[in-house]
Amino acid sequence: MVTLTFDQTTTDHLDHTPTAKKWEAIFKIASLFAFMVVLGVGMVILKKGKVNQVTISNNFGQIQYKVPYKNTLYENFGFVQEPKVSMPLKTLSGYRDVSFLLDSGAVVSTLPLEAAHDTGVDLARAKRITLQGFSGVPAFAYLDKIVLKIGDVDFEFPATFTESNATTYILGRKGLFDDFTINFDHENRIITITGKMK
Amino acid sequence: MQENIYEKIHRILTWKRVISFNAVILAILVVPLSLNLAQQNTENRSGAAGEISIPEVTPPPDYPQSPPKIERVTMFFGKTGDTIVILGNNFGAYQWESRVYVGNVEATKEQIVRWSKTVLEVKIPETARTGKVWVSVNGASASWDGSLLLYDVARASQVGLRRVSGTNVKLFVTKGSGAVRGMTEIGYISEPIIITGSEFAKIENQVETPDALGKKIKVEFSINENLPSNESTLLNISYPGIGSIEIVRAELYDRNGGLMQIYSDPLNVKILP
Repeated sequence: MVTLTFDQTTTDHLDHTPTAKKWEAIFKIASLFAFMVVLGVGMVILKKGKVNQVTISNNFGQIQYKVPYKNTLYENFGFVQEPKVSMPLKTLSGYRDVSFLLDSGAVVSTLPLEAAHDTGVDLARAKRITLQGFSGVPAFAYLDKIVLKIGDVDFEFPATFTESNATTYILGRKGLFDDFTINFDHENRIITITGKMK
Repeated sequence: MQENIYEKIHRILTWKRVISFNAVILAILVVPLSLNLAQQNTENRSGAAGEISIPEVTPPPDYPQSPPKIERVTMFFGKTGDTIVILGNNFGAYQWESRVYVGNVEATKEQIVRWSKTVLEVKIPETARTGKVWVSVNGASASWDGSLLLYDVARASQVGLRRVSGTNVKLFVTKGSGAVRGMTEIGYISEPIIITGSEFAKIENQVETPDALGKKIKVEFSINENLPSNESTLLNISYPGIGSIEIVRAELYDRNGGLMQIYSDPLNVKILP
């Protein structure tokens, strides 16, 4: 009688493992990096939902200017979303990018007095008005005009140049809000300025 | 029996270890991630706090017992339609029947921007001319010592302050030819303040004239007949360099004693610290 045998050990070290066990091992290794993968995917999705930079489009005589919200940390209020837009301001030495606060509560755009020097405004010829400060002491301001470039087009807006040291660059209603539609999209944190080319 | 690689992984890498590994990674990354999220899009910081002003209701007349007093008129120059601020006291909380005259002309209700006990804001009337500013409150009146100067940029002389060094400032004039004498009041914070003449101006009199709003010094000077039309230094001012220095008032007179038109660029009225 002949007994036919074969050595199983020769094949055992090659692929004796059941498929389920093999996949479980692969899945375990993948799981080691699961957290980082989930984190990466989450960040990509979050990033995709935001407008991280200014986008300008000119379509059929319509200008659309999109800009993301920015946060400001206030001493008393914590983080506050700040509708700030960066726009090229026409100066004597060409256009200079200036960060303006879009303020629907401000009647007119306001710039510091020093900006008059840069923009070539002659304050001696400008109309002098007064603005009320928090302290009740009036501050002088000078009414003239500024030129901002939106898209490829120059737009002229009335503006006041104020002597108050705390003055920031503000874009107010007069001119801008008359000729443009401004949408403050809080959820997507985007400000969209839409207007017609002149 | 020899263990293969999958079995080895399966044995060593228990689910408990996989979860623990992820938990450790989370613990390590949570701090930088939180910091990154907190700082995202943060551009500036502000200490500002909002205030809401409640509109006032005008009560019946209740005039102050003491007569009014004008301390300063700022700016001391302007064009018609420009706003000036009259600082003083006993003006009354509201205008009621009180009147204010600017450049010898009574300002209408529409030209009065604000009326309060110590501050009046008034637009220079169309018909105003270089001249006095005074206020009449309940039968008593007060006049400002100086003259409000109405100017035309094309013809007027210009005065201003220019920093020479950290502790030295000069008072200059442009298009000042024809002026033979003048005066200025300089408001200041820190002492001592030393004002000296120049090759074009000789100081005739110098007196301190402090008021309720701060320290100031009045300087009267005569001017050399050869004063050129371009920018020329009239006075040299030396001070400790602390606090601001400003032109409160200035006047120039021609050889006929006439008050010359002068103005100042708002950027040159005050030297900030």
